[in-house]
Amino acid sequence: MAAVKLLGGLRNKVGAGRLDVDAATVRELLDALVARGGEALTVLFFDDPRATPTEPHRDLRVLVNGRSIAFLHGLETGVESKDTVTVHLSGARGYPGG
Amino acid sequence: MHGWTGCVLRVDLSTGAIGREELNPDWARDFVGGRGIGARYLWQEVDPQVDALAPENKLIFATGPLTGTNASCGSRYMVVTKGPLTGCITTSNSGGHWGPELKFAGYDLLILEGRAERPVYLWIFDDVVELRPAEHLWGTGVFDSEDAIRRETGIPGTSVACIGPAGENLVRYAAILNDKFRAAGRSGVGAVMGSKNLKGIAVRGTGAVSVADPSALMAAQWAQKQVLSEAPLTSEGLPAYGTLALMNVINEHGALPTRNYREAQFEEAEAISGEELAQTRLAANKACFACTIACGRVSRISEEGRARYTLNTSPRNWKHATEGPEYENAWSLGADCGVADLDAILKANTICNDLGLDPISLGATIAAAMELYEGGVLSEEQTGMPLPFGSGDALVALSEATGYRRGFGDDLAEGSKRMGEKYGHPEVFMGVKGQEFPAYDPRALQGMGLGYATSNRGACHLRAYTVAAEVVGEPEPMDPRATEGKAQLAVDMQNISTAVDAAGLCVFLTFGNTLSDLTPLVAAATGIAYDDDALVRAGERIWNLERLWNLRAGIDPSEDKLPKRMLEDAIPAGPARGEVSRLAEMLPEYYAVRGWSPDGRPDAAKLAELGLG
Amino acid sequence: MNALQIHPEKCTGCKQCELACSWVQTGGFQPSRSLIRVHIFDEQASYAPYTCFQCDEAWCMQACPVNAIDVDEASGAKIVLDEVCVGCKLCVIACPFGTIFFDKPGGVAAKCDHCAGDPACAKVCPTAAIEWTQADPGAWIGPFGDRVDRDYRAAEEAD
Repeated sequence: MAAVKLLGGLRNKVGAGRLDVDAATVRELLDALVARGGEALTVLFFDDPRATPTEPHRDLRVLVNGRSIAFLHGLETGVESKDTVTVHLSGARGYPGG
Repeated sequence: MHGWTGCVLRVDLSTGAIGREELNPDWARDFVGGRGIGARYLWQEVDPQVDALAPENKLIFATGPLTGTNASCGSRYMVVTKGPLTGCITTSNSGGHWGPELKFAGYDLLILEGRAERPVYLWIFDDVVELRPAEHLWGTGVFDSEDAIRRETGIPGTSVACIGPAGENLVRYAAILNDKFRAAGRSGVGAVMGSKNLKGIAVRGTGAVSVADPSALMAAQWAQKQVLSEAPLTSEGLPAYGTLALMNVINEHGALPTRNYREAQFEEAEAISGEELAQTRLAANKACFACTIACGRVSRISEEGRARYTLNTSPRNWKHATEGPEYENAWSLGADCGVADLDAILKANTICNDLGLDPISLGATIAAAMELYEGGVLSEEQTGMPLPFGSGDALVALSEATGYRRGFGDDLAEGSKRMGEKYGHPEVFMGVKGQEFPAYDPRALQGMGLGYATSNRGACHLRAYTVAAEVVGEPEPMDPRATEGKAQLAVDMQNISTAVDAAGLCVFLTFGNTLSDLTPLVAAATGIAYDDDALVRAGERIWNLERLWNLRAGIDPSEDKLPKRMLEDAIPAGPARGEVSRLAEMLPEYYAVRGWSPDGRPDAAKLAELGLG
Repeated sequence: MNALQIHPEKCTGCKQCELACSWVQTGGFQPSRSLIRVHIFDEQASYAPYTCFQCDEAWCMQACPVNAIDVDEASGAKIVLDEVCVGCKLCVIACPFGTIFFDKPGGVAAKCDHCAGDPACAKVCPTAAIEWTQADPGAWIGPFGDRVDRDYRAAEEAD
């Protein structure tokens, strides 16, 4: 079971701030959150919910042990039971900070 | 002129002479406004070698061409002067309603020079400009001073910018507060105001900001606002949690400096997070003038917190509520001091607003003192109280003592660099060019280290917010632990954010808008055919002028450095464990991207190219 | 008939409504000429944009000695007929809400005219604190006033 921490508005959407999830990859972990929080989360989590998702949604940020999956293996990043996974929505546009 | 009012108001506090002059139109075009035009006037009029607190230093309040228009987030003014904390040119920005009122009164810039013989405040009501006695307000906090000045003017809608006791007592990081809670916070601009015996500036304007092409501006603003209302961060994230949304995010990245930058993760971050504030203490959102984001927090101290801390916010029936805290303040007063009590942070933050202190430098200086106390360098006798990391009571007591320079507060009022040197431990200073770091560990986020080292006003997060790419992932994700590409990123961000500052806009809108959303606003307001390149070029011009000013002030490029702790002491635990800042890998490239000499000086060719030769 | 419905709890105090209204009035940005004003109740950490309620029993209209205030058939708003107004300010005195202004060049009264059925203030409000909708335009003022009153009393008791 990986320890999952949700931040910001995602807490209300999933209905929890911290939970343990049994998953082998980030994709499985997000699927488990959808199962818990409802299908509405799919559109927040994946780029194209209708197709088999290959990329997380551009606004979704997932950290495995504090490291963004953008610099690991994306949705296929492996998750182990001792891992901490942080999930939050970002949603900036533009050129933040100038 | 359009966008600009075309008028500069000059007040000589030594003689009481009040004059109006035409805004230099060439400078307005080339330096846009705010931070840029303020720097141009300072360059022209103030010897960089001057003592920051001498009458020869000038204090410039500068608005931009979009200040007072309907451009989203067009509320800003910039205080430009020589900073007593850093010796650098300082450019301290604030929102609220004060800047627009100055524009409506008919002035782009207010230049204050000399020193009044006795405390005064300045009252500007359109064409009526007068200096009024302020001896009865000297020693009074910001909240009561503002109420008193507004009562005395008797004009509804008056906005007041003033200093508290910290500015009067020349605390090196004293702030100027307007509308009670909006601050031109950093580098000690409040001490410069105090050195001039100027308590406050009350302004009410009933005139118009005329723009060159109103219809084009309406259309550009509508488009700009739509972007802000569609970007999730500016339409949901910031309104829901304010800047404090960052507390948990930065902590999860292992980049939250803790206990004077000895660690990079705070075990109690959740307790001082935006989520916690929203759930337990948030009363309302508050917007600055023309802001369609409204990230400002109105917060109430918790029921149990009231047993320990009462707030002196006025009017009296607002006593349990205050504004803030921003992420930076909750970090400096919280994680950096090891304090996990959000009520203590709210109390200390409110003291900062009332006494007129920069909470970033204050918290960081207290954190440095806590390190000295725990290391046995400072005794309880010297500090006047036990000063372990985590003590909310010490934080609150010392915030107040610092504003009044009482007891050990007199040492804290000098900032952590001077305080550390006094006690023989300069290594506890965590900052650059005398100014304390803000809330991002440059070992975990390599770009921030470069941004801090090269900022023209000492360590600052608002000059090159590489967090955007390194954490937020916009405009594209960049690995926070890599140094590749960070020099170009820092230069780009410095130039663009400088242009945003100069326009009179708030940098937070760049969490939604790109420069291309903003250029049409500046063009429509001024009637000058700016394009994106011209604004970036203006940003670069301003940046180079600030650099030149610092070089003339005697700030050597070797000051573009980070403390030894950041370069040699690896982060001990957490996600970024083992990391140090690799500034040396980035700095030469930064100078090259800037087109400067390898030793960090703009050369004649560069200056000629920018029209600064 | 549509009316301006105010939701003070949604207002953030940004004054975009004042900017938009002044733009309609003057073609520039001049909040002092806006016909809608945001009142800042700092005591309650609250804000309320207020403008003409378009009262059924419009005292301004009744007070006017020259019948310069008329009802616009299309929008239902009470409007000032500039060419009739003689600038006597009786309407300013008569209005119980202080929403008739007298700062227009030409020395005539000015009041909200619902922008002839498409009010700019409602359009620009970023938080929908001003809504152009079918509703009683005065409905919010009672509960809001009660809240302000209650907060003051509570504060006095606490002292």
